[in-house]
Amino acid sequence: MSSQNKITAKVILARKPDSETMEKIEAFVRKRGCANAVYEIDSGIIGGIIVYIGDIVYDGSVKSRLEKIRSGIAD
Amino acid sequence: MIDVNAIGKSIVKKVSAASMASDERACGRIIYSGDGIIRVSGLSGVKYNELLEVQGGYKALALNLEQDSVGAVLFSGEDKVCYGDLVYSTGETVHMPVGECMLGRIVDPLGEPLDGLSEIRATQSRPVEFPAPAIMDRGKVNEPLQTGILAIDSMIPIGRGQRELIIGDRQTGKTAIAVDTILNQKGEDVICIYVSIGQKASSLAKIITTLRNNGALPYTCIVSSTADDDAPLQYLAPYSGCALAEYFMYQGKDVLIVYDDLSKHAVAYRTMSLLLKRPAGREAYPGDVFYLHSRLLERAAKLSEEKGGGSITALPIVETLAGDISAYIPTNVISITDGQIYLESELFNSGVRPAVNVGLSVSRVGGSAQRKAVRQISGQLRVNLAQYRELAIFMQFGSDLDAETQKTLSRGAKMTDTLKQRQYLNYSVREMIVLLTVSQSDLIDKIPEKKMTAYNEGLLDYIHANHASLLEKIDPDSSISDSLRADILSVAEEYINCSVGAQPALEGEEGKNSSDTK
Repeated sequence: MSSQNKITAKVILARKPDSETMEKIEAFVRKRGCANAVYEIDSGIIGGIIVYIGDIVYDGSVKSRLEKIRSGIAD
Repeated sequence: MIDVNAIGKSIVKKVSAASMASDERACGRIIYSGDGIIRVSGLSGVKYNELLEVQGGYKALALNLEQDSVGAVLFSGEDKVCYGDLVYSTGETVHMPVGECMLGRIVDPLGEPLDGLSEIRATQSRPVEFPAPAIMDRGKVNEPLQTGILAIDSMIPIGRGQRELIIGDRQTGKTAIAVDTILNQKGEDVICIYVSIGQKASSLAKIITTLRNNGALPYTCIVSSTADDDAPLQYLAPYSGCALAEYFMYQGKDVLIVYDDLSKHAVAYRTMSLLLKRPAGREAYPGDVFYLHSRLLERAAKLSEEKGGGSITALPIVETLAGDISAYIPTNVISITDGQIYLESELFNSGVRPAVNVGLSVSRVGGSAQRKAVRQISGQLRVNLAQYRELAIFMQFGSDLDAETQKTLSRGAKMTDTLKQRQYLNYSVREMIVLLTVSQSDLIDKIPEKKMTAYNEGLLDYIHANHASLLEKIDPDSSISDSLRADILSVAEEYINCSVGAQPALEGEEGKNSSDTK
């Protein structure tokens, strides 16, 4: 477990989060065994959030939702 | 009139379904891409044979799970993916859409239509890799699968659920036998699947045209990977075809599947293996090339009655080089299958078509599936032909032969001629019984040499025109009585008398027939 704690989570957001959102993100990341997180602002994801923890990606971005809808309609 | 409300509703349904999908996935990044191979770092939870999704919507198959990276082959987008692109695991293996809607269609190994017709709305899918039926689920091969080719149905009979290899050099008519067999399943309630692996697109187009013109497409599905497709698609094609065949087999139906051809399949797999840096073995094929084909062909089976009694009959094709059947892939596939049809270019060029080498061809299980009457009259055929060949080789140097030897030689030549058959001209079981009966009687001596093939075709036309009741009298499932045999021979003699006297007419008729079929 100690090695897990060393993993740094990478969080991508569309814009700077307010303190309430920050707390939520930190709680989410800590629950999955990460001690700290680095933040990145990328307006390309339009909105929402993407969190990378080790190999797992939690993709809650507006961009990927829109892509899913597009491929869903195309099928 | 387009119903806007209905379209709106379906869009809302699709959008809500899309947003509900889970968005927690394992991912990795591409650290190498080249020759259709990618290496991915990360992806620690991925399993062997899992389908991967590369950023940009491309699909890949995970094949090498190593300590620091995962080796995968791309199905498409070889020149589109970049270093550092994200790769997601999907948690599922490759699936092939299955269903009745696949019949009459031409699809790629992932089930996408290639024929420019409507999209395929399959409600079900099956994994392309699936375990073969267990021992207890299997039944006995006891029903014949008629190829319509006299040489095969009489001496190398194929049963439903059998795996019969078609092997020979290039241009010896391997595909022709497979296509003839598909054409002969018309009205037989057998579903046919033709899998093209690395074939020339022009040859495939020709086969499709033949099937369409002869009305065979409605019960046939073509799974196509041509020579310009990526190796992974060629590798996948037979398994996709087999998944579709299994769908029908587990519904209790009989399926015929043609793999054209497995030597190119092995080459595609060798390409992938070498690029994935797996150790090379004999002829540079990887160590598991035997398992590659054995797990595919084991899936062809006859199910027991409790399991619905369906079957998959597999006709794998293997191309040899200069008649060398002791090369790696031919010996492998020969040992997996239940017999082989061996075609020779020498026979083909000397006009024996289909160019079946009767001595080297065998069927290990089909004998018990042969119709009783055919078994009865073809029993001696193989022995007689073997004797003739032995004598013919021995007599090649002798000039003066006694009358008895000359008779045996002439009979043998005529029997060989009887087995010659034009492409797309399939015989029914009853027609075969007539031809076999005539060829093994004394009547054969009265027919001039080199006229045998023409005589046979003429005889069948004559019977259809003047003695249609004779064919109805023949029951393929019971032995031929002496009186029936006498009836057949008397009609055959009648035709000799009216045709041999009028030779030019016979030739004219033959010319007309051949132009009709072309």
